[in-house]
Amino acid sequence: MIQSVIFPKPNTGPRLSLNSDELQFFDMFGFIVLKQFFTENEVEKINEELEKAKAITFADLPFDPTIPSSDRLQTIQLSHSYSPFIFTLSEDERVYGIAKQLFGEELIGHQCHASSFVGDTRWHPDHPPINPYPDHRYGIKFGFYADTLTADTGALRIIPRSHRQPYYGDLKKMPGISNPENIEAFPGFACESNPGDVVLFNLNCWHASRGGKAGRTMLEIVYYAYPKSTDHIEQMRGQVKWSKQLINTRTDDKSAKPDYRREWFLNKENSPLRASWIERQRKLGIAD
Amino acid sequence: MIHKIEEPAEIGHARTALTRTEVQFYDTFGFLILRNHFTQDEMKAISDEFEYAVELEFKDKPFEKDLPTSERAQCLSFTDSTTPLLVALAEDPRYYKIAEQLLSGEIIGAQGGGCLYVGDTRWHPDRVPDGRYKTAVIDKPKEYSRYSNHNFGCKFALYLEAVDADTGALRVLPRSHRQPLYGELRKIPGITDAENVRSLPGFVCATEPGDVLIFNHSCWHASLGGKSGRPMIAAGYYAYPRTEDQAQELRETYMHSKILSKDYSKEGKETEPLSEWNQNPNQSPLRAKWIEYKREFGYFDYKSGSLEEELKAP
Repeated sequence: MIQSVIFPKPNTGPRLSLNSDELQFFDMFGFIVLKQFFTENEVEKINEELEKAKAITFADLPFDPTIPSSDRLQTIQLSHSYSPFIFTLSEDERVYGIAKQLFGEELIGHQCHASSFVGDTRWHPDHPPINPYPDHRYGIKFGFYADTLTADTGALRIIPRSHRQPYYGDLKKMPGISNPENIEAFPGFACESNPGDVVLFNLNCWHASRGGKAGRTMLEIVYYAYPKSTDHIEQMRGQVKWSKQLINTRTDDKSAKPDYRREWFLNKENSPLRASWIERQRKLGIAD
Repeated sequence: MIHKIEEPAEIGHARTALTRTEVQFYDTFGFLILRNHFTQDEMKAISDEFEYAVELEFKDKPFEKDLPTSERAQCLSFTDSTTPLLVALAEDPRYYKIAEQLLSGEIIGAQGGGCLYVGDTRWHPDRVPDGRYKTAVIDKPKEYSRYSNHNFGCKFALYLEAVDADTGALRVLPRSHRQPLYGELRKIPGITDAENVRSLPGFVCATEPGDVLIFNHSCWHASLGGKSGRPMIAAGYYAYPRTEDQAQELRETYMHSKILSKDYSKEGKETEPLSEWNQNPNQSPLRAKWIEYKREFGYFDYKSGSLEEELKAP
C-alpha cells in the first residue's frame, strides 16, 4: 500500500503518469477523475471523428434510441481512415503511460471502443459473474464522454473501494444489487465529468449509471496486467470468452457489425506498441 | 458478516428491528437510512420540544451563529423534567432495540443530545484518536488495539430539517468502518483539514424530517454547506465490551467524551457526568442498567477517585 499521501488536487493538462497523491487515491478507492485530461482542441477532434464514425455506422441502420444497451449494443465503428485519433488513442503516451505506471511495461492494451448508450446501467464490476475475484491489480479502464454528465444524467457511479476484497465479494452477496431498480439503493459516488475529463477506474470496481439521455457516447480504453500465473491466465481467458458472449447476446440481425477489431489487429500502421500487445494476446490464446 | 437477523413484524413507523437486508447493508457499508422512522406528527412534537430546549439553553447566553462547531459545540441539555420526549429518544425501542440488533446483543446507551451546528464538519470517525489520553483513569496503560472491533458502537442521527449535499447532509465514506480502510484513512495527512471535505468520495445521506440515519461509530463522516444553527439530535450506543481491548477502548472513549464536554461547555467545566440523565429521576430500569455499565467502565471515575465521592467531599 502506498503510505505517503496528500490528497490529489485538481491536476489538469498534459501528463504521462499519475502523481503520488493520485496513485494513493486510485489505490485506496479504485478510481480517479482526471480533469481536463484532453485539451479543448482534442475534444473537438474527438467529437468530429465521432460524428463521422456515427454517420458511417448508422447509415444503413439508424441509431435506435428506444432499445436499451442491455438488450442491444449500438457500437460505433471506428477506423483509422476516418477516426485516426480515437482509433490509436490506446497507444497515446498519456493514456498508455498511466497504464504502464500501474502495470509495468508488460501489459496488454486494447483498442478504444465507442458506444452510444441507451438506458441505465446496473451495478456490476467488469468481470464475468462466475469468475473468482482476480487480483485487485487485474485491469483498468479509461472512460470518457462526449457530453457533460451529472449524477442524474448518466455520470458513471462508482462504489469507492469496491475493487478490493472482501468488499468486492460482499457486494456480490447483496440481494438485488444487479437489479435495474436498485441503482439508487447503493451508495455510489457519481463521477461527474465534462468533455475532456477522464474517469480512470479499476475493472474490479462496482459501477453503474442512471438517467443518461439515449445516445450518450462513451469511449473506453482497457488495459490488463500481464498474467503471471496459470490462474490469472485462465481468468483472462474467461474474461475474453465472457466479453464475446456478452457481445453476442446483445447483438442481433439489426446490430451494426463493427469490424474495427480486425482492422486494429491487422495493424496496417505498423505500430510496434500495438504489435507487442497483439503478440502477447496471441501467446496467451486470447487474441480476438 | 451479519451478526443477528431478526425480521421486523412490519415495516413502518413503529418498527423495532431491521430486515435481514438492512442489517446486511449496514454491515457492508457502515450506515443505513431509515426513511419515515418517525411520523410527521411525532416530528412536529419533537421539533416543538427542541425549540423549547433551545430557548432554555440560550436564555442567558445567546446562540452564536458565527462560532463554528469545530471551535465550540453549541449543544442542548435534554432533561426528564423539561424535555421528556427528547430525553426518552435513546430509550425508545425504535432506537435501542435496533442498536441491540446491530451491535449483536448487550449495549450501553447514553443520554441523547442535540446541537445547533455551525459550519462544515471535517472528516472523522466517532472513535478516539490513537493514544490521545493516557491518564490515571486507565490505570495500566498498555499498547492495545485502538480498533478493537468494527462494531464498537453506533449513532442514530435525526435532522429536524431537510438536508442534502450542499445544505449539511451527513457524508459518509461507505465501508470506512472496516479495516484496513479505516486505518488507511487515519494515516492520511490532512484528512481532517477543513478544505478536504470535498476531496474524498463521500456518499451524501440526504434526509427529510422523520428519517433516521444510523451509522457505525467507526465510519468516517463529514458535512458541508449547512446553514448556521442547523439542528440535529443524536443518540449513541456502545456494544458491551467482550474483550479487554474493547473495555480499554470504552474507558478511553468515556474519558474523551468528558474532556470534550469540558472543552465545549460554556463554563469550561467537566459537566457531562453530572447531568440529570445520570441521576435517572424516573428510575427507568433500562437507563439504570446502562448507568451501571458506565460506572463499570469508568465513566464516573474522576481524577483520584470517583466523581460522586468528589462531589460529596466538603
